[in-house]
Amino acid sequence: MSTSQPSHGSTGASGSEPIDLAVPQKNSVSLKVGMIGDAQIGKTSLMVRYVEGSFDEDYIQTLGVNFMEKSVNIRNTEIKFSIWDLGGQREFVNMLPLVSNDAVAILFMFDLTRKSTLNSIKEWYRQARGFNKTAIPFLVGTKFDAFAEMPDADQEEISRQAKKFAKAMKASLVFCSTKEMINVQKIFKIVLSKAFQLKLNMNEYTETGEPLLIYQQWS
Amino acid sequence: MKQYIRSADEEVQWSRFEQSLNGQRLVSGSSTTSTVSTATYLSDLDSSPDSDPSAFSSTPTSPSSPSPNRDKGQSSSQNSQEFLRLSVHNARRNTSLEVVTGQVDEPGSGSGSSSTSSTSSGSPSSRIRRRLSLRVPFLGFNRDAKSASQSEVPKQNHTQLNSNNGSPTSPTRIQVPKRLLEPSLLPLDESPISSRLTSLSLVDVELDETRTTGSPYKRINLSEYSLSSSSISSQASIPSCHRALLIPEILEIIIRYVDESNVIPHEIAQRRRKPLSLKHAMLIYGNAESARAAWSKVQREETTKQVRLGQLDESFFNGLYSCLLVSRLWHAISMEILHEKLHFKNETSWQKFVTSNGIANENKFSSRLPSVLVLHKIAEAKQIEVDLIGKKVGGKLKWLEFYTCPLIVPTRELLEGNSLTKIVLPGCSRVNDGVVALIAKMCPQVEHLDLRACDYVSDRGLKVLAKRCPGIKLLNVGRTQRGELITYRGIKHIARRTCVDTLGLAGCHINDRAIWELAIHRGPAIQRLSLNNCQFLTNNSIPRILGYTRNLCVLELRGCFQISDMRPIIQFKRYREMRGHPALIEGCELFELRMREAQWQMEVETSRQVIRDCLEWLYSEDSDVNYEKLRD
Repeated sequence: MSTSQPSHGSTGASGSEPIDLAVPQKNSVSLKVGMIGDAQIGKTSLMVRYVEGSFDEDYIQTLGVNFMEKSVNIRNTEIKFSIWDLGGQREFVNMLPLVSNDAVAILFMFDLTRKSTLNSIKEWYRQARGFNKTAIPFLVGTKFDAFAEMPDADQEEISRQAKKFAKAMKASLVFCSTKEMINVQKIFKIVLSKAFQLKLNMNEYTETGEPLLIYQQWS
Repeated sequence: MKQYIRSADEEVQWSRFEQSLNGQRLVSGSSTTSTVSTATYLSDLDSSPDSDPSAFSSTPTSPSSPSPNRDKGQSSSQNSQEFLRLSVHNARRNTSLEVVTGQVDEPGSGSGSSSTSSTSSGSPSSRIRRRLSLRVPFLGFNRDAKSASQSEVPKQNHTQLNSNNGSPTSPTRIQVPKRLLEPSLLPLDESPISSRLTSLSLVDVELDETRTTGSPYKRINLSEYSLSSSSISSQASIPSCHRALLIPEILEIIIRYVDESNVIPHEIAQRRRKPLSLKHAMLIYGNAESARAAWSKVQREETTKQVRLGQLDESFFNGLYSCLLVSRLWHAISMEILHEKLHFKNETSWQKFVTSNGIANENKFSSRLPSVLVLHKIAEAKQIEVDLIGKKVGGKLKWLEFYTCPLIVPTRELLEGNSLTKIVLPGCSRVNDGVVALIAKMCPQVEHLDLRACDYVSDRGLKVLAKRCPGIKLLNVGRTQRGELITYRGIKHIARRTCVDTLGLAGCHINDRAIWELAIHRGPAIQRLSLNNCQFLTNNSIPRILGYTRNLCVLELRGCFQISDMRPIIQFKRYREMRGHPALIEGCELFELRMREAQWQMEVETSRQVIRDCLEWLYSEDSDVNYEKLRD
């Protein structure tokens, strides 16, 4: 995370016209966000959805690390998220430092329809913490649209388990759907609010069956 | 000039010559014996092509005499041709110049028989190729360890050098008996050399900067030249010194190299000024550690100033003075080079120079007039001496410096010649408007004029200067006394008429208008401004003009207490940083404090703005699907 004040832009150096030193400068805030979790849970999809707004159901395996930048311009400030996404296959785990070092927040992601992906969060968390102890942890469940179709008992079981994990990790818990655009942008809003300790007025969803959004309780 | 003592640190290491030849001594006597002994000498050193072919043919004894000598006396390594090394070590720069001259073996000379040598020397192809290479090791030799380590490292290079030439040779060291190096025995007559030069062809002068791998040498192949055998015959009778060192052109290059390492005494420019107090250092550096380090450095320097200067003096040695003692040719060349740059840093050398050149010697100074005349802190130098010397050396000067010599001013003769571009007269308190007018009249091409602490220079002088010297780039009239003499009226002309980019106005009573003149007329060209203790400057100048002077890289504002509007200054600093050319803006404690405060305030404002903007984004609507609506 860093703030800086870049550029007078092209305030030109030509002729003997004076340059205007008092030009309001653009402030910029940049935050690095890492995404880790098992293979085929939709990390890259979420990133592409957030950055480009597009969604593609086809699976393209991430080889190593993906990186994208999303910048949001509000008045005089540019908020820039650099999102790093690590391939879920075990062979890419040696690139974990690339993703987790200097990250402001790390999204630990799992597939809501596959319980095994939630269980391996434990190992991901342990490894990522080894590289970065200060990053704000997030537990993100994906494919909420498919999850909502599952039997209530399964939903209950996974929600309970996810809450338990989030509590243990002191993480915010978000269930999202990349396909249906549920809770995608909210993740990054929470990242920013946590990074700068800003108060957020978003509604939380805590009941089973809802796309869980819990960011105040445990962290 | 001879008052300089041979320096211990830097000298031509003749010791290189003293290493071998198995103690053979040379006798220069009557004609026949000298021929024989020469031949013996040379064949020991080298194979025969080097020796006098005419001697071999004319004297029947000579072909037989060298061969047994070689066979029994020398090892196989002595098959090599002639090698000579001259190393000039410069301890202060830690570089040394090594001249290695080697010679290619002719095929068959390895057999070492007398017949080979005579035939090869007689054959038309017996032109001797020589290579003179200048090597510049990055690490100087330790003089104490020269016997062991010095001979090791060059050796590898020699073999490399020779393998380049395609024949196996290894170095042979020549011992020249010391008495032969005495000027009386050296060939002082230059005529054979110059005649020999006609047959010398400089093939190429190339600079080969690539380092040979594994060795700390930078090899410079200076020249490769061939000598016809006829020219050698005249040389062979003079065995005492290597030919390369008798060729004036080559010698001049060597001696010039030595001279380059000589430092003309000058004021060492500071990168940034010293802090005035510990608190000031804290404000400048921002953290206690480096501030303390900087401040203790200042204190240390103050206490050890005297000692340090003393050491510095010793290190200002001049290797050329040893060269003067070698031979007449060396003397002539070194003298000429020495006379090109005259610099004095103590009373005695100046006095001696004056007595030897100014008064006693009625002739013109030398064939070449000097381009540099520097008097460094010679407080006793008198005007009459400068008058005398001026008549001798004036005319071609490019750089004239009297550094804190309060009694003297430059004379008309010194300023003559239309080549003077740098005039440095700080602390010459007798310099007044008249002298400045004289400079302006005589040197319209001057670019660099330093008149610090020339208290009597006033606006009138500046006006004349601006009128006559439009090319002036650096002007410094900083002072601690009589600041009232330099005001807006003088600076106006400087700003309007000259192409000044560096201006020192410390302690002058200039006002905001003067700064505005500079900003408007010189704007982007201004690079450095020293405005220390310009008490009349207010917020109406410096903070307002920085937009005009976008290339300003050094701004000194110590003691300008009226300047309190720091925001534009900080904005300018940031602007320069953004472009990768940070500007150094220096002020006193109060100034730095104001800078810090303003900077802090600006940062707080920025953060507030960032937080406000972030909150705005957080509370804004996003394109996420609203689940509550979806559920309904």
